[in-house]
Amino acid sequence: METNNIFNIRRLYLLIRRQLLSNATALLIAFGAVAGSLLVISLFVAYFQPANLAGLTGLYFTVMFIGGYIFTSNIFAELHQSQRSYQYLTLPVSITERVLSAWILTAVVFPLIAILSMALIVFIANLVMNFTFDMEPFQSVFSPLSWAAIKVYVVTQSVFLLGAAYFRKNNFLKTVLSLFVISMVIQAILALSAWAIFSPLSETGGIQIGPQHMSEQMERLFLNYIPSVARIIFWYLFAPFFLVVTWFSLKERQV
Amino acid sequence: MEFNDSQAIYLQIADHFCDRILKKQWKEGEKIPSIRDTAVMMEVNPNTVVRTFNFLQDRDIIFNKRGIGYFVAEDGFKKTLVFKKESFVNEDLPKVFHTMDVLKLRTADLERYYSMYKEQNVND
Amino acid sequence: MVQIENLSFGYTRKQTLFDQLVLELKPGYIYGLLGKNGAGKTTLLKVIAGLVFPREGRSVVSGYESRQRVPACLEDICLIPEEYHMPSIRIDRYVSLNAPFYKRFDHDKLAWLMKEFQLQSAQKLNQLSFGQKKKFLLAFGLSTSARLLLMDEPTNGLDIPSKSQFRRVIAASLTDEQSVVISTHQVRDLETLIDPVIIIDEGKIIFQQGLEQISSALAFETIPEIKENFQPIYYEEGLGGYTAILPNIKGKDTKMDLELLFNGVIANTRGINHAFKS
Repeated sequence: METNNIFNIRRLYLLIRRQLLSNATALLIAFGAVAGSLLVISLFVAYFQPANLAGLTGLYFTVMFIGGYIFTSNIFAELHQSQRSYQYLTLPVSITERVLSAWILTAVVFPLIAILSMALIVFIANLVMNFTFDMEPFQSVFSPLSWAAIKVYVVTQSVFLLGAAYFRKNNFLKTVLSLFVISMVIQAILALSAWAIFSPLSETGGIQIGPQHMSEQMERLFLNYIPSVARIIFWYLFAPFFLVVTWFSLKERQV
Repeated sequence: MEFNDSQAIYLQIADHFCDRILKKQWKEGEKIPSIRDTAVMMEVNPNTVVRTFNFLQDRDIIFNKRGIGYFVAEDGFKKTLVFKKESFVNEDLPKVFHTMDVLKLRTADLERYYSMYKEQNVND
Repeated sequence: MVQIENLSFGYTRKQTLFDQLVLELKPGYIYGLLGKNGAGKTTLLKVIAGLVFPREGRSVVSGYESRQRVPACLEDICLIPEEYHMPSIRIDRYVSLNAPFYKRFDHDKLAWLMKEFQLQSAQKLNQLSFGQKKKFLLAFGLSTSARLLLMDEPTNGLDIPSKSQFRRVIAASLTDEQSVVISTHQVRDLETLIDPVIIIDEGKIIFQQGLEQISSALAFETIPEIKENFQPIYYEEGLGGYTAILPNIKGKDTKMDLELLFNGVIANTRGINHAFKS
C-alpha cells in the first residue's frame, strides 16, 4: 500500500476526529457555558419582553464571532505546548490535511453548530416562556442577514487561523493586536499620502478639494471599479490567501 | 540477569548454557530456547545472543535445524565437558597458581586442602 | 534507514551545535547515542524526526528528507521524548484516536505490552505516574511498527523492575527491519542492550563501533599498576588497582565497560580510535 503524501480523505477524517475528541471535555464545557448563558438571557427576554426576542440575534452573532475567533485561535494549541507538539508534528499526516482539518472545524463545523444552537435557544425560549410557536425569532436566525454574517465570519476567521499557527501563545490577543496595528499603519499611510497629495494644492491655491473636483473617470474608478475589485478580493481571495500562508507557517514550524 | 565484569556478556551466557547442559537440565538432542527468548530472559541485545549461539555452534555443543531452532548436540555433554575443562585450565587455574605463588603454597598443600574439601562436602 | 549528510545545526546564528556531522543508521540495531550534557543528543533525535531543521546538510529517513514531514516518513518514525504532556483522556480513547494513523499498527502487541506493563485501558493518561506514562508511550510506540524508534533517556523515571522490563520488552519486540536509537547517560541501565555505540562530542560523531568490534579491538581490565613502558589507552583509579582500556593484544573477549569507554573516548578520542585501525 503506497502512502499518499499530499492528501488522503481518511487521514483528514481521522485528524478531525482526533482533534475533536482529544479535547471533547474542554470543548463541551466551553460550549455549554456560552450556550447556557445565552439561553438564560433569552429566557429573561422572552419572559419580560417577548416582542424583543428576535432582536437578540445581534447578540447571538456577536458571541458567535468572538467565540469563533477564539476557538480558531486555539485550534493549533497542541502545536504550541513544548511537551505535546512533538506528538502533533510526528503524526503521519500531511500539511494540507493539518490546515484543512483545522479549517473545516473552525470555518464549517463551528458556524453550523453555532446557528443550530441559536435556533435551539430561540425555540426553547419561545416554548418555555410563551407557550407559543412564534416564527419571527426563527426568521431572524435564518434570515439573509444571518447568512451574510456567516459568510463574513468564514472569510475573516482565516486571519485568526494564521494567527493560531503563527503565534506561540495568546494567539487570539496577539492576532487582534496585530490586526489593530496593521489597520492603524494602513490608515496612517493613507492619511499621510492624502495629506501629501492634497495639502499643497489646497494651501497654495486655496482650493477646497471635494467630490466636485473628480473627473468622470475618477468617479467611476472610486464608485464602481475599486469597490467591485475589493469585493472580489474579499470574498474569493482573502481567505485562500491566509490559508496558503497558514500552510507555509505550519510547514516551517519547528519545536 | 546480573552479569559480572570478568568476561564478555556473550561468553557469560555461553557459560550459563554449558552449566545447564552439565547439570543435565538440557539433555542431548533437546531443543533449547530461541535467540529471541534468550535475549528477553537475559535482557540483552539479540545480536549478543547470536554471538553466543555461534560460539557454541562452532564448538559443536549446539546445532541449528533450519527453521526449527537450536538443539543440544548428540554428544553435547562430552563437548561441553571438553570445552569447560579447557577454559578451566586456561582461565581459572592460572589465577589459582598465581595466588599460590603469592601465598607460597605448594601443590602438596593443594592436595591436602582438596581432600579436606571432599570430607566437608561428602553429601554433594 | 537513516542517512545524515554534512549536518550543521545551531539554535542561534552564533552558536553551532553540529558541524558537518555525518551518520548512517542501519536496520536491525539498537544504537546507543552517548554524549556529555549539551552535546546535542536530544537535538540530533529532533533533527532525525523532522522537528527542527538543519542549517546545512540533511537528514533522510526511509528515503524522505526529515524536514519535509511527509506522512510516509512519519509513519516510520516513533519519537519518545524525555518529558511529555498527555491529554486528559482514557488510554483506550487515545489508542482509538491515534492508532488508525499507523497502517501497520499492531493491536495484539499493544495488548501484550499493556499487560506486561500493568496498564489498564480505562486509566486516564493524565492521572498516570511519570513512569507509567513513559511505559504507555513506549507500548504505543512499539505497536505502531514504526521502523525507526527514537528514545530520549527512556529509563529516566523508571523504577528498577521497570528498567528490567524495558530491556526485556525491547529485546522481545524488535524486528530485523527496525532500528532503535537510545540517547542516554544512564549507561548502566542499558549497557547490555546497546550495540553499536555512538558517541557525540563537540558537534561531531567521534566514535561509532559495534560491540564485536569494540571487544576485539579493546580490552577492559583491572590492572594492579600502571607501568612506565606500557601505558593503557585510558585508565581510572579504582579499588584494588586501575580499571583500564588496553589494546586487545591477547585476543581475549572482555566485558565492555560502557562508562569507562565513554570517558575514554571523551578523554582520548585519537587513542581509542587508533586501536580500531590495527
